[in-house]
Amino acid sequence: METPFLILSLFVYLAAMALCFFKKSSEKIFLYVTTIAIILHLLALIIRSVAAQHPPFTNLYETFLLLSFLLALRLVFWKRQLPKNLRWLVLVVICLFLLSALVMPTSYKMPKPLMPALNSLWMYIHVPAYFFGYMALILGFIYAVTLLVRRRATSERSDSSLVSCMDTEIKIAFLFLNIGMATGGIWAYMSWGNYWAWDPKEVWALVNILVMAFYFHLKKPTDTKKAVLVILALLSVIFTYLGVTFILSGLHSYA
Amino acid sequence: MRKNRTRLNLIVLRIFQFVALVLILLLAASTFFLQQSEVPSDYSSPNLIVRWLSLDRFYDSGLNSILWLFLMVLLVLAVVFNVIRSTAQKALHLLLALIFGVVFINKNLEVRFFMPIAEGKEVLLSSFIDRLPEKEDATIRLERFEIPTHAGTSSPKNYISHLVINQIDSVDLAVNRPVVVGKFRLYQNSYDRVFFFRVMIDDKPFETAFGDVFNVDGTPVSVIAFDDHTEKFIMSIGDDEFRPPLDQPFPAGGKTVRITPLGIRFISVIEVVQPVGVKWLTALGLLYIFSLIMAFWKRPAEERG
Repeated sequence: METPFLILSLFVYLAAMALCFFKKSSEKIFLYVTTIAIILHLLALIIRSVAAQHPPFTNLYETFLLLSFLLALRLVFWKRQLPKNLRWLVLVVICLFLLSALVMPTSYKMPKPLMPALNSLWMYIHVPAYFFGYMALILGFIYAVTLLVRRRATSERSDSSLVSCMDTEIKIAFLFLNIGMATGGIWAYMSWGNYWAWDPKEVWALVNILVMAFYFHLKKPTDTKKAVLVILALLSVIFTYLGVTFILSGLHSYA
Repeated sequence: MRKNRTRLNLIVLRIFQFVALVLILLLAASTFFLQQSEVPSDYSSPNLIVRWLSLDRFYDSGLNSILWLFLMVLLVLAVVFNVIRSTAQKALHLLLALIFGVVFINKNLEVRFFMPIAEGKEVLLSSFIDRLPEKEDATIRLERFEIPTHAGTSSPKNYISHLVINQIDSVDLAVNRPVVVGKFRLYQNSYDRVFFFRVMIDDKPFETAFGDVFNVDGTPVSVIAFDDHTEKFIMSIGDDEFRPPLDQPFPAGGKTVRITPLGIRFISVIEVVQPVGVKWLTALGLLYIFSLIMAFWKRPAEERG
């Protein structure tokens, strides 16, 4: 039911992306177009939530929609942080997520009732916290790749504004991954009586945090080292998000 | 003096990086191997490296504990030797060390066991745990087990055990709704559906399921299976095997046996936990998040000491 709205929002996001390449297009027009796309995206999320009778956090399809929505929000709100010339890259990631969600097999998209363990208030904190962290890490990744590409192309020694943006995103990501882990522990204790079960997803969430901790514990934190660490952290998160779900099984197999 | 301190900082940092890297690699690798908790206890991986690095039992291994303890010590050293200078970050590192310590104590001291109860049956906590003081003991009776479903579907909405504690308090135990009994917390873990029979041996009735062993005058008795072809039960009394027919008296080992089917009943599997330090852990976790916000708010990453 939400598919028409998703397709529409995808096209509007593509239009916003096209605007990024027109030097004469104004900031206002970009903002209006992106806002329209976000409203359509939000409508799709609401319709999905009503159909599934739970917020869109519980399977891969829904989390793709949620993650792309959070990324889109960053384009409109707190946009001062995001360099204008990198917006198109964020829009590419949003469109890729939406496209992937749209082409997923029907079995992935079917709204399913909430399983008993997920029926908890903690889900409303734990899952969004992780996806907020993932969103910040994706932005950090965009900065990291841009930094490395620019370094290679221009052999500039430092791009302090980009590094500063990357630092902020990694701090946000690290904070929210920690919040996700802490709330997950509390929820697991309420649900199973055990705050930590060495489940593959839990172990990989811990690995993500340890990898990101390196970012703050470099002896000589050069921009290149930091950028490489951000890329490694994102790879680790991608494995946690997708790899663990499809390759390994455990308590979080539904996610 | 200053040179020595810088050297010390470097050593602590390098050791931290090394231990964290080893942990990352071992933790990541361990998720690809079946853990011993998931396989029979006599199983051992044929791979020498897996066995040597304890990858098939990493979470319970001494290596895992040592690495985390080492990390804990490094966090404290970083604060003691002023490797970190900001107050917020010092608090952050000390809190992490405390969290690791409480986790270590919790994992080693907490009591945890599974308590299966059939519908209509009553169990004593003390029958599952050694040396439980009488005042901490409790009787738990499962009145009924219920699986409500989502409207219009067969998907379970919850798993609910309607319990009676100490023959007085009626409580509902469900997923995400634990029940506190004295120092213990009860959690709805899983359930089973089992066919029950009434076995009459010389007019003494026993309720049992396949495989359960009960004693009659000191002799172990068990209903093993039902043979569909002959429509007879397979039953063992002591070392002898008997095949009594359905719901008819049958002489067996000098006794008269009659087995009457009662029907399917739920067995609720309840996990019982006596937690140690979980409240502390929650408080420390929340304080850690607060310190993390403070540390990030105040200083950019480059200014790390």
